[in-house]
Amino acid sequence: MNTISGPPTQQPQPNLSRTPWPLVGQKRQRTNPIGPQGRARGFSLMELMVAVVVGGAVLFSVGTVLIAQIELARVTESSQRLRDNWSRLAQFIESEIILSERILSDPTLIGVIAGSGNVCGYASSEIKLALVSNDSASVIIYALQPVASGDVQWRGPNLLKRCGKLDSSGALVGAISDQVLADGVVAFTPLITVETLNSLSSAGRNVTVELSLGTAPSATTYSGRFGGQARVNPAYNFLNDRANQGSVNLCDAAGILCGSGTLQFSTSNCSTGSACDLAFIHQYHPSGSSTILGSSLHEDVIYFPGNRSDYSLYGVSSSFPCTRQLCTVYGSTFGTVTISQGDVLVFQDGDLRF
Amino acid sequence: MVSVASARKRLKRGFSLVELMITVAIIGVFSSVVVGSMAETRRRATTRLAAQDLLGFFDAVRRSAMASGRECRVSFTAPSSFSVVEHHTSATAGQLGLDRCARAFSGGAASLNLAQGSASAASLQVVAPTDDLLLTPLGTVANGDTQIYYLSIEGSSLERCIAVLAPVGFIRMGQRTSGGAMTTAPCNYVAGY
Repeated sequence: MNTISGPPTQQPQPNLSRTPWPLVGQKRQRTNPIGPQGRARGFSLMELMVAVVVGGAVLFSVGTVLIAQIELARVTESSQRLRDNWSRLAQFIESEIILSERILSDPTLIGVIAGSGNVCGYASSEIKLALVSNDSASVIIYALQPVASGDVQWRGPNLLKRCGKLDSSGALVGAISDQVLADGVVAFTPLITVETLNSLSSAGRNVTVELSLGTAPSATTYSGRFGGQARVNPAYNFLNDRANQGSVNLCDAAGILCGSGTLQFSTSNCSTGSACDLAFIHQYHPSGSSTILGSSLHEDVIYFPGNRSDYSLYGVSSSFPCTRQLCTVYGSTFGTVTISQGDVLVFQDGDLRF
Repeated sequence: MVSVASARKRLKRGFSLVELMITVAIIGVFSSVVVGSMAETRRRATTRLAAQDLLGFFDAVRRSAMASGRECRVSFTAPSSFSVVEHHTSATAGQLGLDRCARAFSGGAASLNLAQGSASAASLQVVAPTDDLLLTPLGTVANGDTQIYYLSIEGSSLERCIAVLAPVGFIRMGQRTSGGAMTTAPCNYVAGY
């Protein structure tokens, strides 16, 4: 019997080291998390959740800081724009005040002076300031009007509006227009104070305008004042001063000649500070029929009670016009005032300049 | 109980065609929504940038008028160009040396073409007032009324509005939703833009 001889056949032995499960009686060996193929074991659910929570917290913190920075930049830009707008608005109004002849803040007096000039239909409670141009021919009215709730065009709480003439070159000519100067106006308060009523020259006045602009609905507001000492009114701005002075008689002030008869400034009374000829502007307040002898070297300003329509003006006789050399002012209840070398006649509702 | 072997077998099996199609469909729908929203967002951002460019240009012209002491005029040329020249001048084209407004302008660039700026890739539409914008040496606007410029991108439902307030010259930016067409609806300048 032939037998096949040869090396003994090797039976395949189980590779115990690669068996994932231990044989019976053997202890299972802990394997490396990195498997034999080099694949990662992965993360447990708990690890993932912790990572998500930590990541979320970090993102939330960063996002909060980022949003705060964006908001800060927006507020900063808004404030900058607010200051810029405030400066431009203040400059515009101040330039009009400087060029004006009269400044009135008393609503009653503004009603008198504005008269038919208030064609824009502002309510008396809305009118804050009136300016009379230096030729007495134009009136500018500033008013503060509340903005209706829900208005998408204008920011509240108020609009600052201007009613008056203004052509393309900035001159006070043409038709009267009603324009919005600014919205978001919190306050617009002209403050007129008479500071030097008893001075030798005239009633210099300090005009300050308080202006506050806001960015409603947010709470950013920029406030400031302009005017101040930069403004000294001409002497013939007594219309407002009369009201401000209350019971004070202007005739008690120095530099004003009051009374009847012949009124003429002289150098003889300079020591007393009354009606001194050295005064820059000569001011007269006739109380009835009188003769005023003005000076060609000074500006002579004559004040009359009542409106312009209460008087008739003529020259030598009713057939001659009133001129600087000779003007007769006749009021049926006031009397007759004959003026020579007069420069400005001031009535309650307006001026007449030669 | 699922054995480890059967689980491995299932993993090796891969995804079925239906599963893949559903996944692709979901991704497609989601992408289309996102892309559509992004396109509108981009149009709005482009309009906003163009409006900011125009606002900055007006402000620069105003400063130019103040610096040169001359009244400067801003003219609009369709579709989206603006140029500045001295209002009262004998300068003609090619003689900008006589134009102080242009000379005072920073860098000598006396014009703005929005189509070459931030809105270069989009068809920007500008509706401008009939009158040129007149800016005075005082920084004010000499036009009698408020001048409003409308900017929009074709296909966008949102318009930007630039209003130059006369006479002080405040420049305000607002917006209005018009359904794609220029309407006469008032712009909203109140909300912060």
